[in-house]
Formats: sequence, structure tokens, C-alpha cells
Amino acid sequence: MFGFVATPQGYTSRLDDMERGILLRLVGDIAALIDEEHDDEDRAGEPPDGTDDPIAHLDFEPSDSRDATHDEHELVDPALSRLFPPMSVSDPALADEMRSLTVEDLRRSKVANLDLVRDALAHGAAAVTVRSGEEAQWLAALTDIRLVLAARLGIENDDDSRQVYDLAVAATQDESPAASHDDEMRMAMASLYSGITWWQESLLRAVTAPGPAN
Amino acid sequence: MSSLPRQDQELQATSERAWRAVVWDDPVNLMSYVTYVFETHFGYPHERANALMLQVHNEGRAVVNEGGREPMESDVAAMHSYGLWATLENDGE
Repeated sequence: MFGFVATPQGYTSRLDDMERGILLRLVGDIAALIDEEHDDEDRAGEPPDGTDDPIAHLDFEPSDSRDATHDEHELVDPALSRLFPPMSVSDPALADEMRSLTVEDLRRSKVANLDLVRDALAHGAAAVTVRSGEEAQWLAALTDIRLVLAARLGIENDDDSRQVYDLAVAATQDESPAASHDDEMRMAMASLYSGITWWQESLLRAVTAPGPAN
Repeated sequence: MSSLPRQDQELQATSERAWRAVVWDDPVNLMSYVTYVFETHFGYPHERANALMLQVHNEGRAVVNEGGREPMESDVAAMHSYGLWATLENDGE
């Protein structure tokens, strides 16, 4: 995975096939998590045995974790709660009313952003291009992906965040052999989170760099 | 709206400024991204967007816009579409 660089068409990054495959599945799975009706053409390629796959470990089946006794607008999956947070802190009735008015548009916009990223990943060869004018949608999609991974990793404060980065660094240096299958999965997920964070930062740097385009 | 009597116009103007869009700190969003969102969505100059981002980061929250209920609802929803954690407040809070 290389950082994004400015090109006449927009911004381009190079990925290897494995990285592209991982990102494609992640993007498709998160779109399906947000919208259960979303077509899942990219999920067809899942390996039959997903047990050693960090993406399979993300647990993208929100329906079982939804508590039927909760209000219909309250989404108890922590990842969904973070993607669709309460719109008011002090007034739950207002929060529910506003959420019911906005949830469909918000859902559509998040899925459209993820679809844009998926299409670019699916159609690019070695390079993936963020076309000029689509930067904001890309950055929002990468943010949503990171929010879901962060919820799965239990990142709730800056200390949690630092621990996840430390874990990702340890994974590259092979310093801490995973004690269990869960540790191994957590390390893989931490690497994925850190990698996508780095990729988003590189796109932000390219987009905000002073240059002829500005 | 221009046909309202003067006093009603003033009342309306007051109620239109009674709502606030608030953005909260979170451990996931990048500082540079939060600044980018404030510049892109609100059209704030870089210095103002950056100052608001720092306020979110250092104080835990910042009021990013004030106005009538509908535009503030729309700002809060827009912040959610960018993945920022935002809420709506009014003068009673």
C-alpha cells in the first residue's frame, strides 16, 4: 500500500492484490452492515472457512445483537451506534424524532460513499484513483470504515487508540507472538485499522497540500 | 416572511438563532480530517476551522454553527455523514 499522490485525474495510490481484496471485502461488508438490503455481490468471494480471516472476525451480523426491547431507532450494535449517533444528548425524544427524519438519507449517503470506493477498487488495476471532486466522499467512507473497526477493537479513548497502534507495530515486528487465536485476530484487525488510518492520512495530505490545483 | 409585522420578525429571528450544532471529541477522527470537514461543509477559512478543531480536541466539544432548528438539524446530519460525532442543542441547555 502506497500513499496517495496528486495526478491530473485526482489522487492515485498503488495497492497489491491482497490489499485490494481485503479492502473490497471490508467495504462490501460495512455497506451490508449499514444497509441489510444492500447487494452483496462482493461477499460471494468469501473463503468458505472464514475462521482465520480477520474480516470474518469482525462479526458483521448486527441482527442477532439487536435487542428487540429497545426503541426501534436505538441501534445497539456499537459500530452502528457510532455511525448513527444520537442527534441530541439531553433530549432523547428529540434525538429519536430527528433520527427518524434523517436516517434514510444518512444511510443512503454512507452506502453511496462506500460504493464509490468499492467501484474504484474493483476497476483499478495496480493503481486506485480518487477522482477530483470525489475526495470528500472517499474521506467520509474511509472514516466510516475506521469507525466500524474502532468499535470492534473497543477504541473508546486516546489510550485505547495508542494501544491499538502499538499492537499494529508489534504485529509488523513480530515481537509479541500471539498467545491465542483471539490475540492473533486482534493484531490483524489492529494492523488493518492502522493501515487504513495511514492511507486516509496520506489522502488528506495530498488533498490539502498547496499546489497548482489550489 | 417579509410580510410579517416587525415585532413578529424579531421574534422569528430570535427563535431562528436558538439552536446550535455541537461537535464532540472522539478517539478515531483525525485532527486534519476534522479541520477539512469544517472547511468543506461550512466553508470556514482554514484558521477558523483549525481553531474549532482544536477546541473540540482540547475542550471535548465545540459549537460549530448556530441558527434555526432546520439548518442546524441539517448540519448535525451532515456531520454524521462525515463520521463526526455531532448533536443539536437549543437555548434551554
